[in-house]
Amino acid sequence: MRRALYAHAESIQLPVSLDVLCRLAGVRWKEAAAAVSVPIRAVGAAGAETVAAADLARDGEELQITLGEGPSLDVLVGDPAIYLSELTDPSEIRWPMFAPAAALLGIRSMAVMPMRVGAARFGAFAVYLTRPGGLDPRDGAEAIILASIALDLLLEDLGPIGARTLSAPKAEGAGPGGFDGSPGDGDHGDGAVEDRPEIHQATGMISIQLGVDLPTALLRLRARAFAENRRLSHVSADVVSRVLRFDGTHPGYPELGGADAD
Amino acid sequence: MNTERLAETFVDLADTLVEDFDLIEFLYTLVDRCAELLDVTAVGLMLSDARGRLTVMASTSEETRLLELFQLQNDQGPCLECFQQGHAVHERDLEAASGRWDRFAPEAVAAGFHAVHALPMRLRDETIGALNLFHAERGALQDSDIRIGQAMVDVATIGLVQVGYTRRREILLAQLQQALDTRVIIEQAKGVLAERNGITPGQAFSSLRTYARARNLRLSDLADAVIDGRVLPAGAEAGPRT
Repeated sequence: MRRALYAHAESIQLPVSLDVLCRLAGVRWKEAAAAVSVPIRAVGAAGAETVAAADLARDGEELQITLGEGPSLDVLVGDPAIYLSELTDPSEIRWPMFAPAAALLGIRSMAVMPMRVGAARFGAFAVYLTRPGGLDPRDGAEAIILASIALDLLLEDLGPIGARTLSAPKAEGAGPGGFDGSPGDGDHGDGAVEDRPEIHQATGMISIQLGVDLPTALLRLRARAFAENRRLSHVSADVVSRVLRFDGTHPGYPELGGADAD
Repeated sequence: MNTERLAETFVDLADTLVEDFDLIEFLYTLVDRCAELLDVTAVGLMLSDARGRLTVMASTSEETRLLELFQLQNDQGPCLECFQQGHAVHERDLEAASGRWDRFAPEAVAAGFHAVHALPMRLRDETIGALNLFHAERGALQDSDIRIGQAMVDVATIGLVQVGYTRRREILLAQLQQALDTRVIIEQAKGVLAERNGITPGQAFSSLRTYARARNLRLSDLADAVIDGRVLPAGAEAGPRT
């Protein structure tokens, strides 16, 4: 799937981006358009912003944001993936305003997948279809993979340095963002972001050290790994073993007290 | 083999599979019972995500060395082979297997293991993960043990599917993804708790399990509450806050 994304970017002569990813969805799946939206945390309430979208999907996401209801918004606040096979089904009463309005736009079915790292929610990948029935199983499986690649891209975009390690993997195959392998690696573990327990544990620890939410903690951790040109898992292991703290105080277990303090 | 204990185990597991059950605690119980019934040293259950990456869903120990061995199998090893080929993989002498797995075999031996087994986790015509059994001594499991192991993996699969409500494949994949997310949430909660209470993530995990059991909470719900700062098990004043 990663390979398909790079090939598509090349064919339309654009760098790999969330927009290109959404366009790819429109090419691969019949009568489909895709969008990526992210929560707006500053607003406090359930705000959202669409950061990439193709055609009809942009209208669909706009509609949800305007009406303040819809499957993408629900996924952004923590719902699991939502599959709607017929938007005009009268028994579909979950979004009384959005469903009929979307049907007027010609939207008949939808699939929305969360872009999250555990409890850290970063966005929603929404697929809008002008036919009923939703994505077929093969396309649905692709959509889940595409949503996970979209998360990788989004995390790159959100990085404070704005580094695009994804489009330019290091020769040794271990980019600072923690990417293993080159884009052409095929679909098995292809260039995926490292996913290891210590990264998630470190994220939790940093969130307490800095008093920030999990998404912010993960971005800080990634920024540090990038700045030091180290693997995410290695920096995380330092945090977990109390060698490294993010709040500027001395490392060490509190119960070990003065061991490091003096 | 203690057949009474075996029967008891399956009854226990079946009893757990009620609506709204605790998937992670269920899988942890399953690997613990597996180690006990098959008399192996360590057991881990690996689940694949949509991109084919294997992640540990439950293991008999949180020891770093063991977790590293599970992780390593994304590159090579019995779980990867089992997952890719869809059939059981056995190695009765890891010391002699460095030709088979040049990195995995020496690492496993260094961690004190001499035999390894991987049993496929199958759902319909797909392999979605593997059960990984490590043994401190050389030798093969008996066929009867392998059958029991396979039955345990099948029960784990039922557990994973039980959470769902559908026969549609893409939804099933989303469901497995959600199970993997739950696992990540628990790791994040371990980090939060470790930092708050000045303990290791391993100790934090024990506190979470103890707290969840004592109050009949699902581990995943407790993890959410810990991350949100609503609950702080052990260490400081424990007890749910509203």
